[in-house]
Amino acid sequence: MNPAPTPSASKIIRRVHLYLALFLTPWMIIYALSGLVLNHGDLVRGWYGGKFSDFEKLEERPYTAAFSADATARLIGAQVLADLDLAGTFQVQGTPTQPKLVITRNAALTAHRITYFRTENRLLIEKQSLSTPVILNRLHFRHGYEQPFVSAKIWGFVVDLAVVGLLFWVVSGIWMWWEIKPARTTGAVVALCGFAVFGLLLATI
Amino acid sequence: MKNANLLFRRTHLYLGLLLIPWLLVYALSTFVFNHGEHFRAYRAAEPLWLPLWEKDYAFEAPSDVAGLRAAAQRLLKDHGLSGAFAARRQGQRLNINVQNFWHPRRVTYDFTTKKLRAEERRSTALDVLVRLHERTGYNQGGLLNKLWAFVVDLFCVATLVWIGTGLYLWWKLSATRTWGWLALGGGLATLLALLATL
Repeated sequence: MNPAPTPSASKIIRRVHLYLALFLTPWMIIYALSGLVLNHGDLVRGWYGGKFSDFEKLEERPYTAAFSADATARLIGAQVLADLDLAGTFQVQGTPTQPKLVITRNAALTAHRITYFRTENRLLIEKQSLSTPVILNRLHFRHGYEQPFVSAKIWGFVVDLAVVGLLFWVVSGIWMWWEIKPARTTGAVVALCGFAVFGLLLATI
Repeated sequence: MKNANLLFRRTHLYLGLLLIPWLLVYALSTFVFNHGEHFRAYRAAEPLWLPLWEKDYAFEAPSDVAGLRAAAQRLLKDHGLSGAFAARRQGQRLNINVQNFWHPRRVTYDFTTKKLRAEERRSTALDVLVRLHERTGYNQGGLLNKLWAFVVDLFCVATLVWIGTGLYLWWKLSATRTWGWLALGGGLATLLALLATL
């Protein structure tokens, strides 16, 4: 009985290149489409008239809560969101001593902006109008590990995985190119053209 | 069919080789964004803007956006500054930001004192990397500015082409179908779970 053949380094590299790409396909589609949106911002904004990414008022309501003197803006923001059943990743603008805190709750597909008028015990709740370009851009810009939520940390991990993927595709792509002898000359010319254009633009603009 | 296979393989390969510098830029800068707190020490520190010169200057600003932009462009040209820029009036100040990967500059005109001031932003290699990632759009004059925007478009379209041709090439490798489906389905399921819970 013959032992199972050991897969060659080339085959392992090809398979990792492929499976990593298949796993990251949804993210790469998001980054590609949002890149087009960002590169044609004025055009895309024009499709939506003046309403692109605007926040619309949902409601105003009284809000009374007692916070200790050492409560941070983030802690206050988390409590306000919990009371509104909107807990999740968010940013806060303002300090605990200011009369107004602006809390932006960034869900994947929606965004709420809650303005807390502390001295008036009042909340203004607004929601961002939904559109595909806005959602794509929001997903494009989402990164980091600062938010204390499991799903946000997994997203941060997938962003790191996409970085590893891009670097691995470059290295493994060069490996695979070198294995294809008929493609060596053309590939070298194409790669040199890419570096030349990049170098020119890096040096001049 | 063999020709289509070869065409897809070569397109996949040559687009990748052409765009290697941009693949590296977007990968490395994304890592910087994703771990911003660890890279803060390697970004330019305060004061970010270093003075270049200051002079007395008489300048009338048109009230319309296009006129203001044209006047700002003349002002920059008169002072030996060129490149992509954005001009914005805020009260009694006109701010003109001149983009450049290595040496971004800021020109400020104070309508009250009639002083024109130019500054240059300090930059580290990481700052340059981040600027390369963030630069987009066709709204600047000059062939090279348009070329950069075109390459950004090319990169986005190439990503979609890599996906399309990659799926085709995967499907031709029947031995990889099961694991391929698992990888593709796993990625999609992960994305949907995150979209529902973020």
